[in-house]
Amino acid sequence: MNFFFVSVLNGVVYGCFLLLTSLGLSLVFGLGRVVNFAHGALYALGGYALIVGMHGAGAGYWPALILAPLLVVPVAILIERVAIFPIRHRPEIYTLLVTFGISFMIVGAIEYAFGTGTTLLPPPAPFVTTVDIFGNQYPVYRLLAAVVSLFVSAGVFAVILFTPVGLRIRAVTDDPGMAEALGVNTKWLLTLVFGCAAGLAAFAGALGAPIFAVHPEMGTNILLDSFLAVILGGLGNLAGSVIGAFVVALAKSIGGGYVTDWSIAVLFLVVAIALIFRPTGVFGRGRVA
Amino acid sequence: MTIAVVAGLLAILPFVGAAPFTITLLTEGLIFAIWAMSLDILVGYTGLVTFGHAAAFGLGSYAAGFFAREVTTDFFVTLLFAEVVVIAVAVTIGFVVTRVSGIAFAIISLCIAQVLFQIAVAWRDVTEGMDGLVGVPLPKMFGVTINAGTELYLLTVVTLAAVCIGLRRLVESPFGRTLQAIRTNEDRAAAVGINVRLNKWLAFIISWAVAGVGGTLMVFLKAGTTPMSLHWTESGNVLVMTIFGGLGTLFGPVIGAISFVFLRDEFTTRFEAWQLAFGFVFVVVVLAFPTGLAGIIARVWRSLWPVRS
Amino acid sequence: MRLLQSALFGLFALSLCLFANGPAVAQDAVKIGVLTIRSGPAKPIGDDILAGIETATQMYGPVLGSPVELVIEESLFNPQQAVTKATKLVQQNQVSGILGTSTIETLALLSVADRLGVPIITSNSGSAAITRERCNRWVFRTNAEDLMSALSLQELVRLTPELQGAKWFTLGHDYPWSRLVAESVKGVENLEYVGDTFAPLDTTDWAPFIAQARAAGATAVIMPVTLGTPLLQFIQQANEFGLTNEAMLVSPIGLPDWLVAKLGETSTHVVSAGSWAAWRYEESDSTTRDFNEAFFEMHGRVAGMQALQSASAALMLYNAITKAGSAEPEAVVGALETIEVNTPVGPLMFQPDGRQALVPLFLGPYEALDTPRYGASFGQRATAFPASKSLPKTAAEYGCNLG
Repeated sequence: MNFFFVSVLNGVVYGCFLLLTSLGLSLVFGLGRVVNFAHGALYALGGYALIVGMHGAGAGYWPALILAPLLVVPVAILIERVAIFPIRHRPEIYTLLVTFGISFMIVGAIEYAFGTGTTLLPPPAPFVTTVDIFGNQYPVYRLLAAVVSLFVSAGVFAVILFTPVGLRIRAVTDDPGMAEALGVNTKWLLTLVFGCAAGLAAFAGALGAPIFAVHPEMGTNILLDSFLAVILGGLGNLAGSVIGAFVVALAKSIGGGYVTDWSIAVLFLVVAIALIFRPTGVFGRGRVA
Repeated sequence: MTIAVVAGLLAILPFVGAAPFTITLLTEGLIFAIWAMSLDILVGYTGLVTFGHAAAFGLGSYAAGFFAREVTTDFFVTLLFAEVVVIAVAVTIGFVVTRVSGIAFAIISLCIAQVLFQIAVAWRDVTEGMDGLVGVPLPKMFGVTINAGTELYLLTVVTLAAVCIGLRRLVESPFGRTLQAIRTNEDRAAAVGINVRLNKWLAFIISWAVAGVGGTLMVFLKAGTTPMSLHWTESGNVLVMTIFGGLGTLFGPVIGAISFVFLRDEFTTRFEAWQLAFGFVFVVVVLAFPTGLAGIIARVWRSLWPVRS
Repeated sequence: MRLLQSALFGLFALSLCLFANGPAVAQDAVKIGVLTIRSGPAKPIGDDILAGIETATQMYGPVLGSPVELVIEESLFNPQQAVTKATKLVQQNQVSGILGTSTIETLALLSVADRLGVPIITSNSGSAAITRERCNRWVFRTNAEDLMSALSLQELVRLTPELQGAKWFTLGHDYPWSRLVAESVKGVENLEYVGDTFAPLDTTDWAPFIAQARAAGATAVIMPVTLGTPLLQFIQQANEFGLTNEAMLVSPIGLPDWLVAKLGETSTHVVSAGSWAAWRYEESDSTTRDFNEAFFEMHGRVAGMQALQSASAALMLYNAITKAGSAEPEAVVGALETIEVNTPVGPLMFQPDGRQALVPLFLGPYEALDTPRYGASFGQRATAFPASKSLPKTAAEYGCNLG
């Protein structure tokens, strides 16, 4: 029973963290029908931006954590203008292909600039210890990262639900043609949202650095997990992505605890079966098919 | 006719002074070409983008490798066995996955390939797990061993030519036109009375069967295979080859696969950050030349000798 | 149009031939292929392998009066790619031997070793089968294999008070190797074994698996995890969860020293059940000291486990070529079977009628050094466990029949 509790706790913590990357992925698809395979590479870029901030500029962990997304957003905006904007009229699968190539370039560039080594970063000073939760030693920093992720994700929802920009985003997601006819500048909106989504991914990369370490291919797994989450929830459906993130995270941690070597295969199988019966996503109206 | 000429040109290469390693790489490239063409049937002709095509190729490799090691090394019997396995799996999986299209199809195919990957890791009695199925002997034909090098290369050229001829017939047949109609607009195709799902299913099976031929040749070339041949990065590679060469043509994937093999070899030997160069070339091709290398060649050709007709 | 296409295609193929023929190389150099990991997360391991070979090459000097030219190829840590690159080394670069491969690459090369027809000496492959039931006359190994490590566990427990009476748990990746480690721990007499778990290969979050070790009440966790980034992540997370306060971490094959440097203080929670090499062996062998000094001078860092091993493999090869009097492959293989060479892992020779080097294992804990040496502040205290104890039987009894 206690073991089950720990597995669930692990899943919830990872799920909160996964929200950061899933929401961005889902937003960008909903808005511009861009399937962003470079999302994982942007996440990795965030980890390296943190290192640049801490080791290069000598900043502390927290300032560097804020700085990391600010460094990555311009890169993402450049990517959007150069590589994604020109192919917007083509079938959405082309965005997948282009971003697949871009993720290779980003990972290659990181290896070129920083080498392929892994950098371990200790959690910031007061959070290095563990805390006792019903007799289980649990690292404080993981709990903190989960809470921070939840707050940031709530912020994203607040922006989308309660601000004028959010209104435009919802309008374009619903019906791009109509939104444009009503005077929404969809071009720059997508650029903006792509940049912000990349910023979220970079923030996640930096926030997760003390847990998962920083290395050039750190984004691969998070990309797959976020994709599964977003697909389960229905691409473009933000609320669905939230549920998807927790389903994936819980499946991984509980599966990892009980069926170990088969855990990832089971997760893939579940997603495949879910999609076959609900091609537009399990939780409500998505835009997959 | 064209196919025969190209195959003939390729077949004489070892005898006109091509370096042994060029032949080795070219063998690999031509096997990948079979695989890339099989992908093109799905992606280019039917409009079903798959991110799990490594499953078909890897499954063919495992089936052929296992059979060749345990039962007989006769090429035809091994190929037959591999095809039976691949087609049986394709019939089952295809029946389910062709319910959907678009991104859902891409992701489901990825998921299924990852499940096969895990089976290859876990079914240790047959696959030997992550160590891989190693020590696959060279194939025999009519009792004669096909040696590595020129002989295996010629076998590959002949197989490729046969696959090309078969696929050309296929895409020019009414069935091929039906697939292209489905690619252009699935709903409209259904509206004019095409059984979309049945045709997608058939395309899926054919695509897997052809990929299985490639997988069989590959396991003989490499004398073994590992679960990495089923990994999703391999599915990405074959997609890269096909798009690089040019979707919706049979000629494109062949060019794409050969260039991929030679470029990867050069890049990985010369640059430590080869991914950067590789990604850059790929992005440029997708952005600027959506018709791939085949399209570039055709365009250059037409600008030099404008077509009059 | 079709004819044009075919003609273009032919031209294209022909141009590729010219492209791939490559530049002509100097005839008088002895060429040695180094096939190892040059990119990706495991690159630091490849870096150490290459650096060790470079140092050994410089220390040995000319072979048969000719300089040694190292031809470096990227294996991509991918078995199929390794086969292609090995073929390239032999067919295009005409190397006299191949060094530098790791387990999965060596296993793949075993299948094509007869086609390649040059000696392959691996210094970084654990899988016992390579020199047991799958042994091949072309493929030699200098590092100790996994089943040899298994025999040293009892000795390790005797040497390590913290491990006496421990509850053993295996936590590793889902490799056949990991299950072998688990089986061998179970097989040791008087050890209490409380369970095992094998994580999928892509695991980055070890929390579910750490929870399992904890639930089983483990006090000694043996960790067959891929060397490199995954092992770093695992040890860091084990430390984060406080598992290192409850259990001793046991590394089945030792830690690369670049990894020890990154772990810093955390590395002192780890004890090695049988490293393939250890630089602090220099305290008992002057050959190791000479090599460490040369390595530090050339590369500015401490010689890691992989570097010491790959250097030993290179020295075996150079001595064999010298003894054979030519780089002709058959002659070199013949010489390899009989030579005995002083290497940084001690005096080395291959098992009679076999391909496994009679090499010691190095047991002991990682600890902070009183005075940093070669830039390292942490290092393994190494006690050599001789091959006579870890590999007591003959090659044939282990399933290797070279015929």
